[in-house]
Amino acid sequence: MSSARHWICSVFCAVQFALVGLVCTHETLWLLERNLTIIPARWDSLWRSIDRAPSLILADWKGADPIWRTIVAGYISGAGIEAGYGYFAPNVPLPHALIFECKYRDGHFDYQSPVVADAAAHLRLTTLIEQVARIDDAKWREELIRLLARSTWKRHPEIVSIRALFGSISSPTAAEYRAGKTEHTFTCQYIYSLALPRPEAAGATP
Amino acid sequence: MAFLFAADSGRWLTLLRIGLGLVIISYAWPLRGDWNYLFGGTGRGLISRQLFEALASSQSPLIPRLGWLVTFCGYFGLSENFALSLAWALLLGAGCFLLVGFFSRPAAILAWFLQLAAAKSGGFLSYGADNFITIGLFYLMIAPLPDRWSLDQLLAHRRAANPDRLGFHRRLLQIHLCFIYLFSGLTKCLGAGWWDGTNIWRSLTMPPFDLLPIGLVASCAPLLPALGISICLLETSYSFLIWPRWSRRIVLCAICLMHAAIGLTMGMYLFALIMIVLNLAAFGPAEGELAEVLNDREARRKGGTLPAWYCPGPGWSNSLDNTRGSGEHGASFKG
Repeated sequence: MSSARHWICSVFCAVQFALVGLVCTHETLWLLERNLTIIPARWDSLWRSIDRAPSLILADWKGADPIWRTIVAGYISGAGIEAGYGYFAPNVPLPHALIFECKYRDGHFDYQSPVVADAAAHLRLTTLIEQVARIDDAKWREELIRLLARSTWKRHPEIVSIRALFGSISSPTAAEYRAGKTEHTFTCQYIYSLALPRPEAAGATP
Repeated sequence: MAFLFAADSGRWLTLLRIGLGLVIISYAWPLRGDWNYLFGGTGRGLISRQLFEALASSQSPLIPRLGWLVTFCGYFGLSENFALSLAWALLLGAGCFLLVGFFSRPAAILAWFLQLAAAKSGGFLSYGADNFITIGLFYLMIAPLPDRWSLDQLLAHRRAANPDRLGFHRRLLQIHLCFIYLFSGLTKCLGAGWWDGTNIWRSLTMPPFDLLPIGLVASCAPLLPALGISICLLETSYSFLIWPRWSRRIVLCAICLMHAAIGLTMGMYLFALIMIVLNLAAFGPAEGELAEVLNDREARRKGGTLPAWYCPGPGWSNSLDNTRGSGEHGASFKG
């Protein structure tokens, strides 16, 4: 390899891993700022001030230059480095569930949940539900649940109304299990009464 | 510089290509029944492709998405369903091509583009495995393809890449894995649940990862804290212990075993497969060959011949070129 090529490769390597390091640091500091770790809360302001540098470079703030943001976000997405690697960390959260209470034309009720055909797709559906649980914005959360309800309505066009129940599932701890508790508990956090358009009106084929 | 451009035989690249081919097939095939439903537009699918594409577009219009293909097919009067099915078929085809090494680079670029587009258009439907597949495909796409054991090489007898360039691209993957495990380990260490076993218990008993009978997990409960701490230590120390020769095999075996266990006990097969592929490609075989290269460099100074793989194609000579003085490469190109 020529010396020029060596230099180009070295610069690429430096930029690539500077970005990887910044993204990972940014995500770790995000966890620290929100007291999601075992580190005492009194250092919040320190983490916030440290986090300014990665946020600035990654254009992850409101006043960031749009062109810089476009380039950085485009590159880090393309390289697959837009997220840190804190999977199942710092703690494994409680799983969530979305249940639709469906009322039918003849007046009876039943309970449905979003359905996919295969286990691989089911894993993605689980991810989607978990992501919905992390959304702080109530309108955004409701819109996603409404879209999921619409797909259930498409499968059962005889439904006249849907109430969406969204909440967490707590499983017994190891000690509770040994003491005889075996059931999972669903704790409802949000209830949405959804007035959905008829599937035909939404352009869907039942 | 020497660290970044260590000569390599390129066997790792073959492993990465074949592994990613398998990963892409394992990614696309199980989704065949749900693909159009998962990525369907508003009112036609599970959620709304357009919604997530708008989100991705707001981050950067450069991010690939399936909507581009849908729009393109729309110009020819083809439906969204057709476009999505085409994307799925092309992705599966790219995976098969990667597996055998036929049109390796175009297949790698196509696989990267479609997988990334699916991950971005799927939005919240994407999870960690998608990220790692994108990382693997990104490095494969920019690596010096075709590799020596690909069908391309067999049919066309193309000149193989410079060993230093192969070494550089392998080094990128190695350093990236070190970053992955260092930060993964550190963030785990910051959670109390990894020190007392709660997180392991929760991971193994929460749906849909509860493949093991809860009674079996409960019977192993006293071991869970030790298991949690071991995972934290393994991941955090990976970046340091993977480099020395004495600890590399132990750490590599342990990390592959951990991923295999995650795949088998939690049903995260795709995640396990991609992580094992990346680890084996980065730190797996060719250890002996690296030593061989170093020995050959030493031999070159004294006069001798290079191994056949070091002089990969027509136009290359495997005679040692001492006229280049202390140059990096022993192989010379006559053409």
